[in-house]
Amino acid sequence: MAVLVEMVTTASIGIVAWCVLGLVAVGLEFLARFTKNGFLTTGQVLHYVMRSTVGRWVVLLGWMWVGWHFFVR
Amino acid sequence: MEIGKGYRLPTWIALIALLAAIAFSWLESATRTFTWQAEVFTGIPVAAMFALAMLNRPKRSDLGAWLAGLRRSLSRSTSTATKSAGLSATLGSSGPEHAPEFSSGAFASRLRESLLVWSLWCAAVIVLELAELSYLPRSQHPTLSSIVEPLLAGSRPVHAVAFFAWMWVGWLFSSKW
Repeated sequence: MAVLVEMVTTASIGIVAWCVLGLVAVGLEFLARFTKNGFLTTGQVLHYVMRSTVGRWVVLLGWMWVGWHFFVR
Repeated sequence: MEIGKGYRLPTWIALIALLAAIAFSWLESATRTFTWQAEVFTGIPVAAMFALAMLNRPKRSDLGAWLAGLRRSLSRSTSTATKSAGLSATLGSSGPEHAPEFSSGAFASRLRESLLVWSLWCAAVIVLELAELSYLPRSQHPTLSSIVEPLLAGSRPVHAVAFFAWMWVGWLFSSKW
């Protein structure tokens, strides 16, 4: 029973952590789009980063990694 | 759909490319992770976008200029009045033709705060992913891919749409320099 509780707790911590990060991202995007706090959206930040060749390659490599990670292994 | 600056694909070619991408996504959705078929089907768009990016890249690296611009932007002093003026000037803009004025003083503090927060968020994602990757079993230490995997494996249309969306984002990243 104690082992089962520990396994559930360990998995729950990971899932909760991912949910928190997801909610933070949604919250930041919401703040940027629907409030006047002056925060930039992900699109605007990416737009700035991708103004440079190096930044664009970094973003492109990130895109490649995401695809490979999700669809291959 | 534009490639590089000033070049626009003819509509019929764009339509054929779109249909081909949809068909390719559907074929890819039949593959499963950890197979050579998945490697091939994912490797093709990766290679294609890499080639497109190479074709469209500027002739020389502008890292120095970009860093100098970033330094200038971040060090520019701001005031409340200019900040509100800058907001209205930058928020509605999108695309290279209407690029925000990143060097304006009003934009600097927004950029600084946003870059910091989004960088911290990315760092948190990377740290959590690496931390979870270093432990087993995966059911107890879920990574991003292990969370998404049931969705992709459970529904072929969802898998196809996700793959198409990923290719579309890659197209945006590699074509518009």
